[in-house]
Amino acid sequence: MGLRVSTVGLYRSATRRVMENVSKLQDAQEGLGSGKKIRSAGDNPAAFGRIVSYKSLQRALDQYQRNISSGRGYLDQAESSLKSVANLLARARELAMQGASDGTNPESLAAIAAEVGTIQDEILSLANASWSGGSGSGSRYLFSGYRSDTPAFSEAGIYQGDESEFKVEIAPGDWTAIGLSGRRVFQGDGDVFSVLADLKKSLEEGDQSGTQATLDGLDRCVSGVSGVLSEIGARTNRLDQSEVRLEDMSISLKSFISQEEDLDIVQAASQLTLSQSILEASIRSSQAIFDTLQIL
Amino acid sequence: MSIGQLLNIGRSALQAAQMGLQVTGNNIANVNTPNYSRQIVSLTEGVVVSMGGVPVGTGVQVEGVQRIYDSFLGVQIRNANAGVEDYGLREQSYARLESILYPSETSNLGTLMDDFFNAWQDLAGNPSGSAERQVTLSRAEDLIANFRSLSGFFDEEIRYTNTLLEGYAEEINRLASEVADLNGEILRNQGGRSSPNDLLDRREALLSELSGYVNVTVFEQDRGVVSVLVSGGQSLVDGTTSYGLELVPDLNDHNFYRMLIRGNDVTESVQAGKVKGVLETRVQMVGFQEDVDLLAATLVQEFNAVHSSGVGLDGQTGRDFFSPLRVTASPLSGNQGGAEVSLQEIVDSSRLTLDDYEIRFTGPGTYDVLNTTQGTVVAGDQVYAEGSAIEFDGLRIALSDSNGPPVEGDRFRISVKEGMAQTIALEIEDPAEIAAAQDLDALPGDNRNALALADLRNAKILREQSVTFGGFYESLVVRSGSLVQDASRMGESKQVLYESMEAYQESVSGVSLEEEEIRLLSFQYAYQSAAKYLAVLDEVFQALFDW
Repeated sequence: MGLRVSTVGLYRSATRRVMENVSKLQDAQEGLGSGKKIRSAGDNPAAFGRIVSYKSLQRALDQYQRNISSGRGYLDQAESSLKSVANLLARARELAMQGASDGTNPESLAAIAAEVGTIQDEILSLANASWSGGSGSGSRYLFSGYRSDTPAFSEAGIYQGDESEFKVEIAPGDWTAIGLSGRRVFQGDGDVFSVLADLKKSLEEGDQSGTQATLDGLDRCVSGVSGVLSEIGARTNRLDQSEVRLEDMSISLKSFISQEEDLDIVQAASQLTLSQSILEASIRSSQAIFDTLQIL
Repeated sequence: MSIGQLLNIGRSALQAAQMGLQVTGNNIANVNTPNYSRQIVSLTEGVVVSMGGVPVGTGVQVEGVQRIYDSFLGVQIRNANAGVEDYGLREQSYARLESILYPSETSNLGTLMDDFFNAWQDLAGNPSGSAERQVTLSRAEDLIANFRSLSGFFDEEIRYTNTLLEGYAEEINRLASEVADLNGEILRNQGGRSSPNDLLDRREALLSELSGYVNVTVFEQDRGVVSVLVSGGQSLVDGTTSYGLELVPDLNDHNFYRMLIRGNDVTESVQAGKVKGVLETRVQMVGFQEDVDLLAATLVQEFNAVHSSGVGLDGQTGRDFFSPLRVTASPLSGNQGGAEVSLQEIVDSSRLTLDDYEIRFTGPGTYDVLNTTQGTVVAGDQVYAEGSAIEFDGLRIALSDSNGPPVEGDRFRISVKEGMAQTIALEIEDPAEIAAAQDLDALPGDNRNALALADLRNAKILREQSVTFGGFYESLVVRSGSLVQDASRMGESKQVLYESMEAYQESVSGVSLEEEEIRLLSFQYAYQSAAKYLAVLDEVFQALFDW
């Protein structure tokens, strides 16, 4: 400043210095209070832009995780249904073996046929299983393709759905098929319903060679269902892998966000203490000047 | 030397000392008076006479009371002050803008857009789910509400700039007229050896205040009068006359005020001060509003295009999700001719550019169609025929000569996106109408259209296919932050400059009590010594008389 110090000038400069230090102290306090070094776009526009962009990406990753959960819900339900179907088909094959062997008497044949009938009903019911998934609102048939409001199979074993496999986005740009159509599952290599119907008819009619003939069909059904179960395993695997990758991306994102946004608490705390000391010093020095001037 | 002359020496000494005490006392009394410049007595040696060939002084002469003031510093202070006020106002406005664009992490436009797109993902996971459908509609409502509140904010801010300018113009005119009055008073009180120091101080204070509103140049004229000019050379004050600032709305530009002095438009020549701050911020606010309108319009356009190709639960296709875009065309208020818009419609929404257009008449029967966003000519030298359709880029406009034909210079503004952030609305009311499916035969589990709509989140459409909706919003946030940061930094540096100029001025013109107290002592001694001198003279003359 100039060579001459006026009275007002003295007070003003002392006041200004003190107020500046108060403001710095407040800034340090706000930082510590929020734990963030960037609190608004004006603090550092480019960094804030990055933070906003990262957080948006985080929301997208969270959604993909939700999509994966929803897909997994379907696959778990389908797998459980099909495992039961596989067990029932194995049992049906046993029954067919029994029925095709020599010396089975008509009463036994009738009993076997009745059990096959029960198996037919159970498999039909499993084929027409539904799931609620997502919000739990509404229920949909598992194996009807897009026609999720129609049971997959009629009583007569006619497929009523379509061939589509619905997709879900499990990673950016990665739409993966989740749904399974009943036609593929139950009428792939072998048609489960017609084979079982044939078996029951042969048993009821005591047609030993007819019963024998169904064994081949049953084998094909069993291997068909087993194939679908592998496919479910593969799909579940894809979901798991995507989940892991998303998790990793999430962790990286969190660290990027933290780097841009978070305050170094230790450094900030010591800065706060420093600001306090500076403020104290400026107040004391102002007082000293005024006290000395009182002498005049 | 005569007795009279000897006594005169004493008298002049007493007077000088008395004057000194008075002036010093005045300084002490005014130590805290704002804008007070300290004063000192100007003393010169009295006339020198020759006494028998020997030059002898006749005492001391009070020349006047001098005001200690550096007018160069005055200029610096005014300029710095104009900068401080300018950037201070900008910083405040931009801080408001920044906080309305991004009020919090959870309730900003970007987050609401993300939540909206996420709702479509959830819907794709359960296309027949009534809860998912309902959520999609409510997330859309939340997004729409945010667009509208942003639009409302911009409208308010833009209107407010005119209110501010009205206030400032009033103040500027009041200050200018006071300066002119003071010029007159100073003239009257000029002359002799005294200058009207208090009036000069007061005028400095007024000029300082004036500079806070608009930067001015101050010229010293003869006899203590100043003239005050705004940049560009227009006089606010010329001698004892002041010219007022007049505000005239620009009918072709948001009714923004233009500032005139004696009919001359000085708006562009303002460089600093609060007025400049307002002029700058209003341009920025308009720019941001246009960008938010563009974001809303593009979202509606892209979304409706995909949605209407899909199928609702009832098997219907061709439905818009948002209320469709509409085009507004209107004559500019400054048009001299009487033509009005008789037809304005979108004929092919797939060809819309969302740019703004203008039909500008180059003669009574000819016009150009201009794309004002790109600055290009869409169709030049078109022949005008009342009522006949003017078609371009998916739009169809027609004009009618209801109050007379259009004349040269008439302009008609055409925009699709203008006001979109305010008018955006949901077209769908029944959640079942949401077109999640692509194929009528694949209901209700077909989620392909929902997946396509969810994927719009990643579509790069804005800024010539370079950014997504989210990216565009982020760029607005960053821009608002940069504006705040720049205004804050410039403001800070102007503040530092102002404070240091003020401190210099204070060190030149400010009263130092210590200095005055010591000066008091010196005048006190001078007075006492002068009195002593007179006492001695008295004794000497007594001796003469007693003789």
